[in-house]
Amino acid sequence: MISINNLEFAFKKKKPLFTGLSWKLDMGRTYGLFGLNGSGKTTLLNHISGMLFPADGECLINGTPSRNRIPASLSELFILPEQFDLPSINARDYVALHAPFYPKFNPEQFRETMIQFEVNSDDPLTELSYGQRKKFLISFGLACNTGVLLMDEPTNGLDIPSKSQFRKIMAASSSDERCTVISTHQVRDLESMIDQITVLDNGRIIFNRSLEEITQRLHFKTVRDDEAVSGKLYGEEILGGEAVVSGHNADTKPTEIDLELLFNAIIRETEAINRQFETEARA
Amino acid sequence: MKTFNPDQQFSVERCWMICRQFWTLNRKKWMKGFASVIGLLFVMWFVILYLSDGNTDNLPVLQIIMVTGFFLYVIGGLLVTSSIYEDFSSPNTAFRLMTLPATNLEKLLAGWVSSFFIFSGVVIASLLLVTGLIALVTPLILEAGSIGSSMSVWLETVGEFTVESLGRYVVYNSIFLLGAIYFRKNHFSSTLLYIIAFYIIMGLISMAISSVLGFERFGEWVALGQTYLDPFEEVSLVFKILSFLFWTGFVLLFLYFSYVRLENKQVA
Repeated sequence: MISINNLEFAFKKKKPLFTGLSWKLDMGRTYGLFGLNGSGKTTLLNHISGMLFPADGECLINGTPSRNRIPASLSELFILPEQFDLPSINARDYVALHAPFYPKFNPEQFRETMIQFEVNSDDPLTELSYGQRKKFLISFGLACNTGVLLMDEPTNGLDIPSKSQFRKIMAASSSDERCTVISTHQVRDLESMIDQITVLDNGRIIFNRSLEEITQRLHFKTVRDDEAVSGKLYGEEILGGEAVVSGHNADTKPTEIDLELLFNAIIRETEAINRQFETEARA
Repeated sequence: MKTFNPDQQFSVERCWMICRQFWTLNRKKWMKGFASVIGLLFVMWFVILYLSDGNTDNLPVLQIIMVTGFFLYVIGGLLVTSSIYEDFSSPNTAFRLMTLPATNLEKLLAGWVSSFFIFSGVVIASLLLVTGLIALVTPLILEAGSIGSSMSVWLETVGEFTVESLGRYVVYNSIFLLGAIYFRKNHFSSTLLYIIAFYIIMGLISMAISSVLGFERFGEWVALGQTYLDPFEEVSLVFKILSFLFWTGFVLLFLYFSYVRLENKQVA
């Protein structure tokens, strides 16, 4: 389990990014960490992975501060950064040099994922395209079978078939023994992959709910321009009408979550959306 | 696939695997540098032989080659040391080593073992081979002197060159290792600048003290101190041992500083 308690952090000569941020993440769940550019998503992942240290507060992985960077914690963690460079060796050599550090590394799983992604193991990694390199690192990260898997913008640079392949692979590899955090601002890419939605804004978690809760308490629909909507919380114009988020009531059937609409609603109408959950919870 | 136990105790296997990573990731660069130095020594040898026009009686060919070779060994080694933790320079590469499941001590020792022991072993063995070959072949080409006397010069001097170079390199290696971890970029030049700045500051302090105490008296003390601190000076065995202990402590202290710095290294 990941436990972030009262995290405080500021980059040098900049205003504080995190001021008392707390977040608990459970095993067996996939978290979608959303936020606008500069909201602190990457910085938060760097804290969880132990590459950055909090000025105050703590970030624990299975009870051990991530800043200690001890082998037991690190062998249970893999981070896929958004931007990364790989050495000029082929995939096989990379695996030979890095995989032994991960006790649960599964070579067969790695090989299969590489095949599904259609990445050639013989080419030097530096000669692969950015998308190919990302697919290689995703394959390696999944095969490590770590308890914590952090992915920063994993779908950036992937072509459309690869994004679909990524969703399939992630769905197939979900496990009760893994906590996955996928940070992105391309919310649509994560549809059907996540269990929990966490939205970060200016270093604060402004929304953190499971999909079940959202389905129970929010309603997503598209209405015509002249159609009235009761309990409307947020709406945005689309071709021929309006996409609307409203409070769920007993008469309406649960609807499929429109992640992009929800994200926009949370960013623009934070209080109204959260109030809906509080009201419902009290009721 | 054999995997390592992720416990907190020092693991030789993990440390060795990190050494292998350093080697694999840098081998092309290192081999190019190594080949250039060996090539340069042979070119120098040919140039000296050509310029001497067959008369090398007064020209210490072997010594020139050895001084150059061992000087380049130290400089090359410091360049290698400075770049050993290059991955930490960028957030794009730092994740590989920083989140690798090994202890900070293993990561540090892997850097030290690679940049000092393995590098010195390979380079010095090669230098001995090259200079030995030159000592053997030069008299044959020039038909001047005998192979025996040339080899005896080599045998007399090679030990001294090796020990002195190793001694100086181990000290500077520990400083540049700290620089490799401490600085975010330009590790070699930044460390060099700090060393130069240190010498300038020490020089200024010395001048200030000597102006108070009198230059001659202070100069004598400095000269005496330098003599006793240099293990290669002709001093008594006791001072040699003390000097050895001082520099061992110095190296260990810098390795400790490097360890602390590595433990607190952050990359964003």
